[in-house]
Amino acid sequence: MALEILVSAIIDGVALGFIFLLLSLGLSVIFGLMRIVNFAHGSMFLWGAYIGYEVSSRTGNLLAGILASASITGLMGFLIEYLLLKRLREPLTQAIITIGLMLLLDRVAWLRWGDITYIWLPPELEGTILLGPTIIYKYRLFVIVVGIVLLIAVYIFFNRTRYGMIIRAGIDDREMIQAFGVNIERVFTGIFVVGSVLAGVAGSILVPWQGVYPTLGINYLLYAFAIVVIGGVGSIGGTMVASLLAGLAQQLSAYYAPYLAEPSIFLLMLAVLMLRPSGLLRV
Amino acid sequence: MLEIQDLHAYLGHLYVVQGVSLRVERGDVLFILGRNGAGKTTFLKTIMGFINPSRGRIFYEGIDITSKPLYERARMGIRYIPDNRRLFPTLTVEENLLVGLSDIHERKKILDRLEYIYTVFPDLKKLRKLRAKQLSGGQQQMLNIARAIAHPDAKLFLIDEPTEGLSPIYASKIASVIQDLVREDRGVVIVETKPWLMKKIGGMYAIMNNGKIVSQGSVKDLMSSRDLIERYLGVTMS
Ligand SMILES: Nc1ncnc2c1ncn2[C@@H]1O[C@H](COP(=O)(O)OP(=O)(O)OP(=O)(O)O)[C@@H](O)[C@H]1O
Ligand SMILES: [Mg+2]
Repeated sequence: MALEILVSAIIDGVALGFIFLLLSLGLSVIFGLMRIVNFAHGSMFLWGAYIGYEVSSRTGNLLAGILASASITGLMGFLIEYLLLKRLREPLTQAIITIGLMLLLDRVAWLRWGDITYIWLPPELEGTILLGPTIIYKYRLFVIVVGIVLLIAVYIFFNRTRYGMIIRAGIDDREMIQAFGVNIERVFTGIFVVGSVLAGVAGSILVPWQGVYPTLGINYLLYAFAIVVIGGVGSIGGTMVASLLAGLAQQLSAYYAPYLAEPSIFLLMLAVLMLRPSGLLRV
Repeated sequence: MLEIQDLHAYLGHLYVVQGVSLRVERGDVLFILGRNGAGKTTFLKTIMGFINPSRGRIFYEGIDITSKPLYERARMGIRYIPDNRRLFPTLTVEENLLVGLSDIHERKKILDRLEYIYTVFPDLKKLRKLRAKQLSGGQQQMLNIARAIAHPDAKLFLIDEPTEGLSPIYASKIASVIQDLVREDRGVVIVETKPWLMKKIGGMYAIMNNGKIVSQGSVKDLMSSRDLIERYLGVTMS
């Protein structure tokens, strides 16, 4: 009995961890490279979720919803970076602009979709499967599979491609990288778009599981900030580890101590910072 | 290949480079000398494009690059080798080299250049999988130079105190790498005050004092002027 619950909690935690990872990675790299604290990142997640819901519920196709989210949040990210952030070099101004965008985008979403929680699950991923005595929701398993595929893709991108290498070099020293011919402004635009796309995709993947509601963006933005701090600001590997830990912390507490589910990630953050003030993987 | 006309530059409110004019041709070495705080590093960084000059012009291969951004100057073949190294610490040694080659798309050409660098610096080949931050000071300086000379089209090198704090073995290695660059007809502007190294490489010198060039000529002439050496190099010749 106890073991089945533990297995379920771990599966849910890993699934949530992958969604956190998709969301936090962009936030982490945008800060690490561009030094922008992007408060609008949660709004990409929220919009990704609403668009994913609209398109997949109408077409009956989850993938169509995910692709639509990716395109629209990618376009939103491009416009925000290219038209606004690029013109403002002052970090505080940039941060405040992203706060304004967050308020605006979340408000527009609320005007359009209201206070209802929307949820749509593709019929083929409905229901559960039994693993011995353990009940596993098909969709959460699906999230884990998608998460693993994306994790491998992200790993290859950062460690095996020229662009990934340039981004890591830029996080180390974004001025010196230009002395080797890299046009950092283009890298900034690219990374902001990719980060927004990952957030949008994360939102659209969450909908069939937890639904989408007006405060989803801000809730997950706060989680993502905590995750980036837990992992070590600007550390890609740290963000990966911290996302999984945060997913597990939240789902384990949801099963065993539900009153701790909400603050669990922040408790994890406090615990990590006590032991390692600069986060898990930052030395 | 490089012509500087009446260059002025500020660091914040501090007036550092106060009207410098110079020429460097292919195959030339120009030693920039001067006391601490004279403005040598600021001068090199302004040529590279880290700092915008307040006045003056910089021509490179006949093109006015004064308002070109840093990355375009790098693409035109200018390399800056900073005194504080500024490697990419979390990247491996080999990745640090690859950053300098990132605009080359043929795999074969990239591998050839790595091979070339590893014949010049065999130690780096052994260390290639280590992260740059794991190297010793001398090894880091080798990588700092290797990374800059990796690109086949790099033509002008701005080198800031490359032998500072290094053992004689490393310093003479660096001297011979610079000699090779000169033989291949590249241009070198170098901040370096070791008399033995200047004698070995030869070329021209310019002494900078309070942001101005106060004396210039050939290294040979400088070495025969005990007065200049003692006044500006802070070295007592015995
Ligand atoms: N970041 C900075 N902000 C303000 N002033 C600076 C800064 N860096 C250096 N300076 C000052 O600018 C002047 C020129 O510095 P610069 O580093 O160009 O001299 P340098 O000739 O390279 O000296 P050194 O021999 O010590 O390397 C010095 O007076 C120095 O104290
Ligand atoms: Mg200096």
